Amino acid sequence: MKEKDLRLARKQEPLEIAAGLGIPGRSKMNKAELASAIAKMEKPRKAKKAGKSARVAKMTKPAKKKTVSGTAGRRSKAKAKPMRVSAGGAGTKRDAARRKGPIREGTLVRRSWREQQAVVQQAKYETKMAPAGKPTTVTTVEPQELPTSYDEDRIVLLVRDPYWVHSYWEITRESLLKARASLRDDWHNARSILRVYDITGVEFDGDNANSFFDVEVSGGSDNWYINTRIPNRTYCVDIGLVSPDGKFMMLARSNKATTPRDVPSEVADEEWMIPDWEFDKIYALSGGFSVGAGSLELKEMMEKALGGETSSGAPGSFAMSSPVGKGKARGFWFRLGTELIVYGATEADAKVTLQGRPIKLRPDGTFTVRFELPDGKQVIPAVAESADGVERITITPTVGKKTNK
Amino acid sequence: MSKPKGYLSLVLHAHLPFVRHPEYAEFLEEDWLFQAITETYIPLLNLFEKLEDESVPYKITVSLSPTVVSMLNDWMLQERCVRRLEKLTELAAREVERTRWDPRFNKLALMYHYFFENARKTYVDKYRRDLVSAFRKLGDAGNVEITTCAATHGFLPLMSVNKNAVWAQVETACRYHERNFGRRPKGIWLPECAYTPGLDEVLKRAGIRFFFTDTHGVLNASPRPRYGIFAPIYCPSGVAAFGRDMESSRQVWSANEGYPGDPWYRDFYRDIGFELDLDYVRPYLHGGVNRVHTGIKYYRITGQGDDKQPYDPDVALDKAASHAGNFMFNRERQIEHLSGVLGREPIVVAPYDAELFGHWWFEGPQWLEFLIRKTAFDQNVFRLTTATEYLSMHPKNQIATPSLSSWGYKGYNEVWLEGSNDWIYRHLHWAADKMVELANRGDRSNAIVNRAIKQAARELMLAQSSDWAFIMKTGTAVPYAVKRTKEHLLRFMRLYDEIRRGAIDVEWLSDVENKDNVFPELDYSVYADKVYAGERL
Repeated sequence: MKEKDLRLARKQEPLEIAAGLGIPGRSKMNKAELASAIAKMEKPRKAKKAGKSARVAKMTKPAKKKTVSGTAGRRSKAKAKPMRVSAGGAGTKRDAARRKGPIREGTLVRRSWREQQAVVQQAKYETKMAPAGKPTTVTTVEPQELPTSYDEDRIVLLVRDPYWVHSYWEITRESLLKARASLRDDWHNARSILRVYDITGVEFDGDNANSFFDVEVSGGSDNWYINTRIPNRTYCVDIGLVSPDGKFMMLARSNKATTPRDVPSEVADEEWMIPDWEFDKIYALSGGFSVGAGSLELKEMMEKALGGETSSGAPGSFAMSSPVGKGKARGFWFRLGTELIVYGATEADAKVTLQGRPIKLRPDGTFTVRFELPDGKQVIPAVAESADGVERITITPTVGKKTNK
Repeated sequence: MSKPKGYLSLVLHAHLPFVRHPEYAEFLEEDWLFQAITETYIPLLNLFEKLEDESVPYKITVSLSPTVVSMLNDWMLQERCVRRLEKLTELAAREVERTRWDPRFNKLALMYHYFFENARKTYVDKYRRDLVSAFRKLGDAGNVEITTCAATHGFLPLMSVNKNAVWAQVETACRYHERNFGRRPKGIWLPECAYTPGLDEVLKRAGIRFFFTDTHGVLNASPRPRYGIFAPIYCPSGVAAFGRDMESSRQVWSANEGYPGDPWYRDFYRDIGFELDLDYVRPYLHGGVNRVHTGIKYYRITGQGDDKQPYDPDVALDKAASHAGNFMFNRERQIEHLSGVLGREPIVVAPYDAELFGHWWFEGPQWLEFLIRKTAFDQNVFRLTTATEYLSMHPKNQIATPSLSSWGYKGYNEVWLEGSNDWIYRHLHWAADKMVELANRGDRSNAIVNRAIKQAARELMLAQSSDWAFIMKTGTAVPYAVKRTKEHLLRFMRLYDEIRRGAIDVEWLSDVENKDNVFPELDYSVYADKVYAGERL
């Protein structure tokens, strides 16, 4: 929300936002003071997320980064305010959900072969890393930021897997103002929700869904992961406001999306009828009972999730070990190499050999050779011979190395 | 050879995102391509040509993504690749000197010197930097079936809210394939094996006959597939779907039982680019600062822990031979058993990332060679085949709709749709809608406007590469992936804005055309509604 918008808003609204942001002394501020205090707090957050005010081709300087993790948590718990629906980009839900996600990171001890495949695929994009396996940052110019809104009322539904769909949305200010006008006094007690319709097998007209459920979304979020529980169903989602008396006002409707099965089809083709037992045999041979490695994890995840919340940001149980593959809890390590550098100088046109092998001189007659130095004794006869072959000087250093581990 | 009991189809998918930065003298991520050329594409080409020369019977499918083909065709990248190869040859020569007192390493330094020198000779002298023609020739010879992939490897199921965008990815790929390989592709590798019902309709319109899915894509098809994944199914559109075999995947990929993890194989991470004195390797690093992979790696995997033993190529070669024998033996038993149970010749589909062979798994090309030769001469239970060949032998197949699936971790869309990368889709979808709007304008009279619209299409496609989301999720190069996504989207937005305002900054447009020059002949009308609906503009 821009500072200007905040100034226009009734004081109650900025006050609540200020509370969410934990601005001290907020109740004593007037509207203008609140607005500028909020703007101050919000700028760094927005810059961090996605550069709120960036318009298409305008350059926006990345604002200084400021740690906001403290406010992020409180913010997402703040009571949903319809106005915040438009404040796309501030969505802290994702971060919050990641922390509370149903699957703990690092719970997998051994990599499944699918994970191993991903490790190898990752290696394709591998060019460098710090010796300790800590990825270094690429030296590139800070990119400009993408806009956080496109001035469109839009909600899109995407399938993640048999049990989860993801939705993102944007509601324009105009639509919100309209909604506010029509909701009148209910506006301040209205909640933002996603209404998730199961429209499997129906030509959805808004009223004929098989069933629906609501997901309350916290103010400020602009995307949500929805646990749809039952695989192989078709869904459609409305974003809207529900007033205290339960009246729903739709702001935008999504595309429809069908989640996949997590098991073989229950449909046995008539022409190709297969008895169950025979199918089971083929299913097992196809690896079917462990394809489920994926599906099984999903099932576990769902069970855990059902006991908890219905949304999740990033239930990433995929704890990728560091690129160097040092998956140990304590990654301390030490390597030591020894090299011997032999260097010298002579006439620029002289011939030099080291251990009998010719050495290339620099134009000024100097040379440097380096050797990996193994344990033991090295005798290194160095011979310089004048260009005409008349003079010859031999110097023979002997070097010994012993390593104690 | 007597009639085989079944078939094995090896599928290698070669893909890298489009990375080309003329604005820098050298660019770190361009190494992805140079490494793939040196360690994978050239060894594979060498292998296939050797098999052709010796008339070894074999069949294999190679999917070349249009971005890889586009980069292989780019003269600037070719030039840079030659320079990189020269540098590496020079470094290897210095290594031969440096390791003189330690025969364990000296032997390896000599091996790498030969390896790079040979790669350089093959690339420069033999192929004249034109690997695409080399693949084309193999394709024409008939043993290597070359398939395409979506234009920039866009993750199609998450793009399908805009059908035109999906169509543009597929049709652009097919046309580019035709231009480079002389014919429309019969098959496609769906990026990340990601399928969603309905996608086959788009493929059919592009003339595609088959694609590959992960195991559960076919296994969970509806109605139930009678032969599991051991026969293709026809989507209602008539396009065939081949499911990936779990067992052969596991044998190669499993961290514990998988071949590439054998202690005798070469370790990927212990590269001298990270290990040797910085002053010494500096001339071979980017900008002299960032330690990078040079490809010279002296240790074998050895075991858990950091204490690695020097690599021994002779033992590793034996290992590759016995692993190939083991793989073949398992396929024989599997196929024998299956043919009994199914009452029909099964096809076992084993798809892999091409870059697994040589780049990650150094001995991979040797393993492949042993496998192909042994399959040809040491057994008669199964034969190698391609999807096209199998379909011509078994044209009659069950009709079923595959299930939404991908070959990513957990098997669905999550890798490309989760907390680290879900933010990209609102921008990608918006841009796709605007691209359709631009393509629908219909007025093609203004050359500059046309150029700008074409460039907008390129920027959109480049932003859509599934690689960016994958890297954001798993990644080693996250800032780069984020930067690329944003950069292309911002360029798209600026173009869109300038086209609408009728104020195109031609100088800037030329600059961007020069940078993002993928698919020189791109026809943006593939985005238009009329084209999608089957009409020409």
